[in-house]
Amino acid sequence: MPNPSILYTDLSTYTVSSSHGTNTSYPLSNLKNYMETSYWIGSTKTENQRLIFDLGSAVPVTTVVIAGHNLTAAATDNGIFIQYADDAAFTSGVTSATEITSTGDDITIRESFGTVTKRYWAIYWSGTVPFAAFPRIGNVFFGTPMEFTTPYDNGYKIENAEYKTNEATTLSGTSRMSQTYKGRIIYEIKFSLQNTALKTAFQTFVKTVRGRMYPFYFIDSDGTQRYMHLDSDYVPVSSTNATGYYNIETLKLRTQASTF
Amino acid sequence: MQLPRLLYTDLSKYTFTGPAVESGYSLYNLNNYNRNSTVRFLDASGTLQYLIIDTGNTLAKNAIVLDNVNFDTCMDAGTIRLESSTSDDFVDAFRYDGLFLEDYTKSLFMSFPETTRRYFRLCFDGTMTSKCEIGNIFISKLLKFNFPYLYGYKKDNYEYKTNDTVTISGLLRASNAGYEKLVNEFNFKFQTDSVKNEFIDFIKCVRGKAYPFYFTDSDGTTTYVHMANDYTPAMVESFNLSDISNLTMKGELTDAVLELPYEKIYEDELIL
Repeated sequence: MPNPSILYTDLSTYTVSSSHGTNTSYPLSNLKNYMETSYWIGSTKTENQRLIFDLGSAVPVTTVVIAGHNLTAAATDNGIFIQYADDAAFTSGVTSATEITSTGDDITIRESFGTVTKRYWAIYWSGTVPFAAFPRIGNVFFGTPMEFTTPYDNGYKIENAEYKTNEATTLSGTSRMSQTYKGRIIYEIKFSLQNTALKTAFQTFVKTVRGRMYPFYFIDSDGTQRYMHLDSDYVPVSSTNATGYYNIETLKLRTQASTF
Repeated sequence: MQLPRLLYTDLSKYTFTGPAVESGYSLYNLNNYNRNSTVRFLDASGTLQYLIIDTGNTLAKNAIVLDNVNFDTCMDAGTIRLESSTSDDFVDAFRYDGLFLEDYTKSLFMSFPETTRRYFRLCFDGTMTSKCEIGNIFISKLLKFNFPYLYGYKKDNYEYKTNDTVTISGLLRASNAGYEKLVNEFNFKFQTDSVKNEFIDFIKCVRGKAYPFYFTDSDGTTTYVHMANDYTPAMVESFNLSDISNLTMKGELTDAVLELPYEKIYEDELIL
């Protein structure tokens, strides 16, 4: 059973381009706003097109998450691949890291492979005929998940939903309730006795997501994946009595979406 | 391994006298506790310039911070030395040889033999090649804790200030101002009455959260921080045994690494 992990990234370092054009109402900038439901949509259904990601520098990548997609509706006869190359034009060193297996539109895909340290990546729709729908993508993260050294401690609270209810009382004393939106999934977990490497990696993670600001993918031991924010702007790692071991005593996460 | 220390001072008591400075980079920038607002000498090519620091007191001093400096590039050859005196004419000037200030870029933090002298000066004894800049000058006595902080410490974590809103679809949208604060949380136990009293004086000088100071950890790395709370008490457990719990500091890491050229580090300092 793998330990829980977090895949995060700094989308501001990405430069995104499309080989076959973009629907101007759904621009490439929508891929840099951390919102799974604000899409890039291509302007053609032409086969063999690429959505290219320049990560800004060569980054070790083992995992790619794709959300807000229509890779089933826009399936091609030769498959959809995650590729990397030596140049932004994808003319040199073009290699497929993996073929994307989509089990349905808008179901978040997570593909993993052996470490590849490259700067230029792409989603490649390969085919011999045009596809049935304009390609659509909401969110793409490239990176190597930060894996905790152990599972979280017992006493954990996961998959609980939190709501925001407004309550009014009528003249007759009857309670009337209303909610503006649905519930949000909350995780409250604690990690004890993490090693120094994880402590450093976790502090780098908090700095990259800037506290509560940017969301990330939390991947649980059973593979459950949630797109979440930290609930607090300050999530410290504290030392223990054992040299070289640290605790993350309060790690509270909440989903970006409120659809539960 | 050295013991954690902190260096604080009351810059409102300092008076700086020096060479002509560039407009907008006045000597008053050295009184504002802002290490990024610098004084900048006007002369980029002269020889033998002095910056005189009147600390305004005859309290004990044994350390100096020169923060955000360009000493390694502002002079071609020569030395930058520190001197102290009982009077502002420096008739009885004492030179702190061995402090090679001209090697430093960014930040310098070092101790020197304790003195109660009031006046100090930086002597730029060489040919300037660019305008010298200095962000902060602290000259004071280090507050040295008797023992390192306890386990359970939280160090090098960062805090942000995020505003979040929720769209009508329930989507979380967040924004923050773009700054970050390094936060350290320590607990010190078994401090002597002397350290306890010095700590109380320290809090009174920095006025709780008001004024920043330099905190140096056991490895010499230094942060420029404020107290996170206006009230951080020292609790007396027993005669000569006091605890300073929840010492929380917020600020930023500096390039300074405390050097103790005149101090021998004894291992048994750390053993109870």
